[in-house]
Amino acid sequence: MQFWLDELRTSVDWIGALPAGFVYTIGIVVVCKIVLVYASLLAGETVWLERRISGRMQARIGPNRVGPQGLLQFLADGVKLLAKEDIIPATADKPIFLAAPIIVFVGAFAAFAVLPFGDGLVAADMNVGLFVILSLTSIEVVGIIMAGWASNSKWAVLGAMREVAQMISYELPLGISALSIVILAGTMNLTDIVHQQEGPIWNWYVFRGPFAFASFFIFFTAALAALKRAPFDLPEAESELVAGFHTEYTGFRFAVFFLAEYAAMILFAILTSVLFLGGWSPGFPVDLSEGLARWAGALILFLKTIFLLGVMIWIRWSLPRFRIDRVMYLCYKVLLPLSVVCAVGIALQVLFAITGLGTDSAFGRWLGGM
Amino acid sequence: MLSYLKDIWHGVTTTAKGMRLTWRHFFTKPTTIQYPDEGEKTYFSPYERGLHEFEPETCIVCDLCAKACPVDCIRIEQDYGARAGKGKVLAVYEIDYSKCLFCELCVDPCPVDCIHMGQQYDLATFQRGEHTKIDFMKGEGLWRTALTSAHPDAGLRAHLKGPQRAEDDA
Repeated sequence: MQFWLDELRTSVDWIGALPAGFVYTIGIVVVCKIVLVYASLLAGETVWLERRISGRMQARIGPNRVGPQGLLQFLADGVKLLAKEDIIPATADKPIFLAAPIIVFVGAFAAFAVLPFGDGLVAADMNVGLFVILSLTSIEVVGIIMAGWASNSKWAVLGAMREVAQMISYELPLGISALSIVILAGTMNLTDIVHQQEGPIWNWYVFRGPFAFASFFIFFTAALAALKRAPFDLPEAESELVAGFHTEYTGFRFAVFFLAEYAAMILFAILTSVLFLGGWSPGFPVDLSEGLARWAGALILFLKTIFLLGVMIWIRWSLPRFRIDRVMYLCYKVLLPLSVVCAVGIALQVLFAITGLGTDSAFGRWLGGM
Repeated sequence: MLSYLKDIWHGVTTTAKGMRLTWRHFFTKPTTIQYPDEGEKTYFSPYERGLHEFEPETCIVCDLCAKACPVDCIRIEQDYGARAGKGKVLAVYEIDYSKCLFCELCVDPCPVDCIHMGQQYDLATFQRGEHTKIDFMKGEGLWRTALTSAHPDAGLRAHLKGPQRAEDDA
């Protein structure tokens, strides 16, 4: 972002005449606004995508009345939710009840600041980008347990407890499988991680050996669980817990939870494509001018994001919900050991490749060559 | 250890199996029949029970339909008018659609078959009071069509091809 602002200051005279701090402050506000609107619109359209895909899978059509092909359905839903009464239960803990949706929203949207939407199209290009994203998404847990506890309802408390247990557990395989990519890339900077995957398709980290390939699936599964998407949607199980932690929320506060959920989906879809699927690199060497390559890359990353969102939706409408003990079994007894094995395997792979150790065995040569 | 790995393999394969099923279903044709936009026709069953169709010329003012009505939503008023002494003349035939169940019980007892269930399905209005009471003698049943529900050309049925139509026509 600083790059864009500096370019703006040198190219436009009257902006260059303004004090630097002022330009940066305004720039930050504008960029935040753009990212927020982009993420919100995309979240709204993801709801539409989900409803259309699920409709087709059940031999229905899905929403197709509002706007072309029903694309504006989320606006109609949003207006409806805005017009609803904002009920606060009499026994609720009011300040915490009111603060919870805001914290969930912040947790989901703050991470977009370090998320690259294309080459250089990133609000804050941090060297610890991946770490910041994983930390910020954990804030959501706090908001959710606040919502569940402050609602003073048995469904909400049960949902929030499940949510916290599930999210904290699944952050382990999520973090460890992301760690294996960090070992492979040697950096946590998301832009640098993508730059290392440019070129032919086998440069993508998902195709760098069996361990990276398994890491991709572990990361994606753990991300689904951290997003509380089906089949891991126990925290808001409609059939058992009414709606889990947001049972007592109405109107726009409910809409904020809903929006944050879909924004987190987009966040993890972009993050997965950046970490494993080459981000904005198309999978073959291209020869375009810098400006054109930047926007074409943004489009490619967008398409990859839509693809991953489609897969998430597809999984949701295919698989039934887990039982809570099976969720924990899958996390601690399957995904966690496998992700550790993958991380160790990738560490060996990098060690062999860097130091040349293990070249005396066939396995070492194969692994080091990945 | 072996059973643990087998379990993982089982989980992966069954997931793939389930997802293949939904993938196939994604490409099937939706069975939904869409609500008709303005000017479009829609499909009707021969037994569709929409707003009534009423033929005042045929009615003999016998009051049997009003007696059969389980919710008493039919109001009939008779008049002897100019033809005093030569039988009854229908003055008011009003159905209160805020009460009507669309049960079709008024149709069966009619000795001259002057009342049928029609195909007017679009009953939504912008005002709560609109179209709740309809007096057929004031020309309010404007949707009256020549096609009764039993007519083969009723609704979209004439335009629908395939097994659904053949089954209904049989």
